[in-house]
Amino acid sequence: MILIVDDIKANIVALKKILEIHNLECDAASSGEDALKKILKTDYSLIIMDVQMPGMDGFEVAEILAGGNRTKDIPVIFLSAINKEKKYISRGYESGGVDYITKPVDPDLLILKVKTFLKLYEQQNELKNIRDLLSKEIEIRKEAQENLELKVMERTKELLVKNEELELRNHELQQFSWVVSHDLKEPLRKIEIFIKLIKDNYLKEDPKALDYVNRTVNAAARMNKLITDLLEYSRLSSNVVPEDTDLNLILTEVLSDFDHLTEEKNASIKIETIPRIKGIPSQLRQLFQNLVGNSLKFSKAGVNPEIEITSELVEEKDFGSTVSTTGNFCRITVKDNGIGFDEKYLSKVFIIFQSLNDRNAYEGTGIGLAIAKKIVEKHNGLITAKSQVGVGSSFIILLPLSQN
Amino acid sequence: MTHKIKTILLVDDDQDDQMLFREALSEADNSIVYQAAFNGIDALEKLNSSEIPTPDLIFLDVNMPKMNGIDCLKEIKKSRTLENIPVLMYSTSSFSEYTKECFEYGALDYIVKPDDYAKLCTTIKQILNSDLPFTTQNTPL
Repeated sequence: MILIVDDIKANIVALKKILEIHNLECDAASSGEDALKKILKTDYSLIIMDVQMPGMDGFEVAEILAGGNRTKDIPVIFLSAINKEKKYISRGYESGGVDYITKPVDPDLLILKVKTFLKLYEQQNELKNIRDLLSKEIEIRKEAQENLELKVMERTKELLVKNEELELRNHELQQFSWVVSHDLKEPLRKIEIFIKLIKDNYLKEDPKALDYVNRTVNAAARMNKLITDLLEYSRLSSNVVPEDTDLNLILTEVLSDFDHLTEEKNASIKIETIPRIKGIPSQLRQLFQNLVGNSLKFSKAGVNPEIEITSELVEEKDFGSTVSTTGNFCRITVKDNGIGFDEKYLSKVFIIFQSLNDRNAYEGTGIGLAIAKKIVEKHNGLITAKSQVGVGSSFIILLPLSQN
Repeated sequence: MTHKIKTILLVDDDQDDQMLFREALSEADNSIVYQAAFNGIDALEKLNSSEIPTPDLIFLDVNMPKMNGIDCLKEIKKSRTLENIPVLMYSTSSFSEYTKECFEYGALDYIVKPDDYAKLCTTIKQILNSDLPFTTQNTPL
């Protein structure tokens, strides 16, 4: 809607006609004051204003409009028949007008100008709307971001507290199991000492009593081993810094520990070269001790144990990963020809106290493989097994070459 | 050069271990005077009094109530009258942190309590027959 401001009615009528021919909607005000009142109520997209009017003149009206937030962008075209001098024209622009037209006016040119300014105004409005939308969007995002940051901070804080609590609990638990294991060992040691003293000093002549005492000694020894293993298991939780470890050296040491048993069972053990890895030597020694020990322990009666330890580099932390000389993981397999086990028990063998075998035939505390699994996990690796009853077992370990 | 050990002090809160040790000691050499203390405080009190003769060798348990073996060892090594008595730590624990600490504070050796009486006798005989306790001593006590 266009507002025409002129104190002469005839001018308004003439201008209105021109505009309406071109389908441009118009409104009219007969004075500056009247114009301001109308502008307050209605949103106009263009004002065509006479300069000289009784009361408030066109410049004054334009200046007031330029000062108002809502009105400052409405384009004002001054239209004058009298004030044609340069100083009036300058004043017109200074007071906020977009154009200053003097009479006589060519209607076609006037319409062209009006349409141009209307279009500009429209575009300006669109831009303004987009800008408003954008700044609103920015505002919303900023708020969301701040909320998110606040939430993250809160969560982090909570997690840190939880973590600290867990560490404390873990430490307490370790301490607890250490003390329990240790204090359990103490009376057991006494039982072992005194029962042996009784056996050696008083029971030489009584085979029945000797048998009973021997059973007691064996039971005590088994319990002692159980506690030692538990102690070992609980000790694994403590934090140790990994170091450069030569697994070949470790395996050599482990095998020499088994010299006696290897000879006794007439076992053959083959080892491939294994790469150096970052790890905790004492734990890795324990790992191979348990695996090789198991292979020797669970051998078939009357069959010479054959144990093969093979190693290859693989690309990914996955048992089926492809072999690669530049791989970052080491896949080590400990294979034997022992009694094996049914693979349906695979998930059980690595759980503490889940010994699958008859204790009378095969000694074991049921902790060895649980310890092995815990050690492998402490090294950020994986362990699994393949087995067939009566054929043998393969324990497969996947260890990263370095620890980050 | 071996020096005859005449008196041994065993500091241990465990009565059974005291008894076993006494028996094994008398089996090894029944001329040796055996003295007992039951914790670190008790040991220091006895060592600093005229209640017992100054021992030629101290066996010191690690885990004890009131004052443990490591603290007792520190006190002994701080005392001008006691610092020269050889101390052997004697414990069920073979926990490496303990052993390291004991050697740092001047223990001569760290003996893990045998879990067998025969082994205990052997251990005591070995110690009595070795030069070990006196290698750091200039004068016999």
